[in-house]
Amino acid sequence: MTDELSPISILAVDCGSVYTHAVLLDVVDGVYRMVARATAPTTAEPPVLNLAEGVRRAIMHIQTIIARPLLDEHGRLIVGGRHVTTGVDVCVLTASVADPLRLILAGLVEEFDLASARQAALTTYTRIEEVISLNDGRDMGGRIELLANRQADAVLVVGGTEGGANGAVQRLVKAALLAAQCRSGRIGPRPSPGLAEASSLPPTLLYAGNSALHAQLHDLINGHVPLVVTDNIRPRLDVERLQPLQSQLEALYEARQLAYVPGFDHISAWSTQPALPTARAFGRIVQFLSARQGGSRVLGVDVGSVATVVAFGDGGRLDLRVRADVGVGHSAARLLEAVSPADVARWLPFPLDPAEVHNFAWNKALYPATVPQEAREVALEQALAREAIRITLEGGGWETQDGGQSSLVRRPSSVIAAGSTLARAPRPGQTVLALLDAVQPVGIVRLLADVNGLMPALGAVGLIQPIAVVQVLEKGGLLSLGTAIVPSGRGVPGEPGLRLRLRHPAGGPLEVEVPYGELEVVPLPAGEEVPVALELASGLGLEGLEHGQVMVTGGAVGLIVDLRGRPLHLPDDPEACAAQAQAWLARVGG
Amino acid sequence: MIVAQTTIRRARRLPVPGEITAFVGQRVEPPDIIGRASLPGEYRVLPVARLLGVPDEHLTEVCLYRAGESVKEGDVLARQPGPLRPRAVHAPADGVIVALSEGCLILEVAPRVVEVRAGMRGTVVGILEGGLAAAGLGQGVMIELTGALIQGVWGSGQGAYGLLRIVAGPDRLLQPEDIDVSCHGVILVAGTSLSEAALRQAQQMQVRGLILGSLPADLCEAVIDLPFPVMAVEGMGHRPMATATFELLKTHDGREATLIADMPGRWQPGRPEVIIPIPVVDAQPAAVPWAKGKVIGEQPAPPLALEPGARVRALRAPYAGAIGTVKKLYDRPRPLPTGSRLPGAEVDFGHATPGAAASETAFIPYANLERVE
Repeated sequence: MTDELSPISILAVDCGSVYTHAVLLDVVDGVYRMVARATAPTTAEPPVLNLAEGVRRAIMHIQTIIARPLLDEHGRLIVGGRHVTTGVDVCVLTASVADPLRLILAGLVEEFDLASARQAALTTYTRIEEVISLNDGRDMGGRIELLANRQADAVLVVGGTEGGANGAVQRLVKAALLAAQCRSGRIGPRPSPGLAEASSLPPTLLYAGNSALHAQLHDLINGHVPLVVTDNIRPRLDVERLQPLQSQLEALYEARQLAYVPGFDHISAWSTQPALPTARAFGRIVQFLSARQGGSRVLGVDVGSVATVVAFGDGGRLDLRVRADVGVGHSAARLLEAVSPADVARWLPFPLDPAEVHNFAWNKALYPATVPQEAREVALEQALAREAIRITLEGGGWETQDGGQSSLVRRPSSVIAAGSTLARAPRPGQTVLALLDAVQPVGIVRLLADVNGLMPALGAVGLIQPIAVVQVLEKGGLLSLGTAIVPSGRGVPGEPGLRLRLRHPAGGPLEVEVPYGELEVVPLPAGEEVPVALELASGLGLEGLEHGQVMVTGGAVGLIVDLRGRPLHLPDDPEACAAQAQAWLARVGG
Repeated sequence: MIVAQTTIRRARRLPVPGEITAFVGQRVEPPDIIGRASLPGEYRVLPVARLLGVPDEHLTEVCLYRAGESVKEGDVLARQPGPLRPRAVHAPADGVIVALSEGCLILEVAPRVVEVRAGMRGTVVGILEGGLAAAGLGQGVMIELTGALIQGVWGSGQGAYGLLRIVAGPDRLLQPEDIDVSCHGVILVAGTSLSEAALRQAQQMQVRGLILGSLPADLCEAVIDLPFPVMAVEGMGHRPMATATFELLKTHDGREATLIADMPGRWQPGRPEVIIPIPVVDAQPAAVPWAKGKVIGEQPAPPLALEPGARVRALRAPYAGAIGTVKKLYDRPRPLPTGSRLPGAEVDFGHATPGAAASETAFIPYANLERVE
């Protein structure tokens, strides 16, 4: 039951670069449920240049579904007041529609304070334009020149342990200040919101270094540039404190980037709390799920048009990585600056000249809102998504175990796909294969898809009504794709690798033998949870296997046995590689 | 947008605030200057104290200028007298000293004056006050003309005006041998794509611009560095220009045209485009039935809901680039060959689909359509 004073109906809006999702949660029979959802094209870019327009279209769609007015005669959302017949009680907003925050990092040592600064920057929508360090070969003049001539939204200064020397950090601050003062003569009045032109603002100086400088900082800056001071990111050499800086970067993303998206001011006025970056909201749900499921490891991958987000929740602790330069729409061409077209082509179920991959990515970037009409183009978009996930994972600096040999992020108990390309793939088997190829997890792994685009919405709702998150997820907010069994170790290709026995709900006892090197699917409907007896060939192991038995949950694809080995080996010959990809796709029903 | 004949209004803007020299009612030719502005110079930071071997705190003692003073290239900015070899620091460029601090002298290089030209033949119908220049909303003038308009999807930057010359149809790649000495100073039109060798030949023959059906993506970086503008009408790869587009360009073979190949930023309206002025005496009722006489402003109107009869361009394979007419709208999702279900429109591509033998009708999701008029 919900509390009498708590909000009843909650509208959650997520503004992505291509699509705007609106989700209405309300209490039905005493529990929260998703009663309606709608998607509309995001309208922040020309020719409409007004984010509010797309949001209104999505809300109007919801109005039609629930037959209740949500917008007033001026097109504004009716919020609060507990109206029985109109509006909603609460609106929450998440967004990733803005350009990333352009950062210049300035610090002392690459391996310590700057490494921590990079980690913090990776947790929201940022793009590191330049890095200044003590050993980068630049003198004071070189640093000032770089800072004065390079466009950035913020200069992040880090360095110095607590109680340590602070002369070098002080010089970095002075360089940033001098550069900002030089530029201030050129900087005109602050543009009004709606012009989407934050680049004319002076860069914010964001300080996360030795706190001994805090008092001096305000005197030094003296109002010349916007200043944000936060806790030392590296108070001791062996201690890293990312969270305060992460929060400031997110706040800056909202204040400097989102606030200048045309029409954002209208929408944010409807929201009962500040807009949350979509990546953070997504991460919160991953964190929540990992805490709720008895300390499990949950990996969420959200491949968007502009950015790719990987969130890893381990027993309630969240690790978030955002690649703001890698996506499958606006950033598709930029993705190919980070990976080669041949890297993308190897996932295709047909041979393709890498030059054609290059052309495809550019065309997708030119028309990011378009959708594939042919299976071939679905495969191309999903191949881009695989590479976007791969490099976001590889650049993550994730926590490891076994003395650094094995990353926990590759041993999740659940993997959740989000973003249209993956979560709303035409066939669920395509999503499954893309997740297994890109993440290459090992163990017993539940696979899910956020087909309704709910996760960012629920991440924001959780801040005001956590029970709504629990109840909506319990009512099947995420689509179960099935369970993958992926042993670690090496077997002999073609030789028996795993024998499984289960009592299939539809047909009685079933025994399947899967050779090493193969991918096999046993259909198992959603909602079914059955014990499976496993016998592994020597050389193969499986975390979570107790007395030769595991519990698996069914889904749209079923039980997937992935004996292809880790890391995946793909044939060098493009024709053979395509044939291999085609065979795997056929196995999962893609 | 592809329109055979219409009234076109285009803004020509200064990159930063400056002076507008054109006036309302003035008839302008492409090379006419409509205004000028001073682009701020970059900052040069000279580590004077280090160069002269003095402590930072002695900087002001060795500097001969103070913040706010102007200097000329070669001026002695700072000097350290010595018994054997006096040392000096010279100004690397004309400019203004903006700060002396931390042992460094910061020089703002003198601004560079840029003149903005009309770029097209027409009449100035308004002076634009301007807002943020960086948002593409700076000071400028609005020029009006009657002409044909063809918008592309990618441009290499820059603009040019010159005579149009069709050198290759949509059925074949532009080859080096298509570009001879007679192409000097001409804007070339090729119906499909081109090879790297053709690009080199175009540069050698000093063409004034290139309008292509498409362009291999791996040539983009090289194209951006070329001294002339290049526009791709359909996209990347080897996509042939839609027949209607190519035929329109063909009717203007030999006429003067303005090619604007600037790629607007994500938040800026506009597209790369070619404008072909049509002299008033030549202006005829539209040669193609879908040409309308409406005024096309600088900022495109919000997309209208499609209606049967609307002219549209398909954006994705298998019809990418093809222009057709909307026959019927389906607001309820319909299945695609991929298995997805989406709302869209039934479009009659007639014979406009490259290589199509017969009239062709297809269901296209709304997300993959754009209006061409």
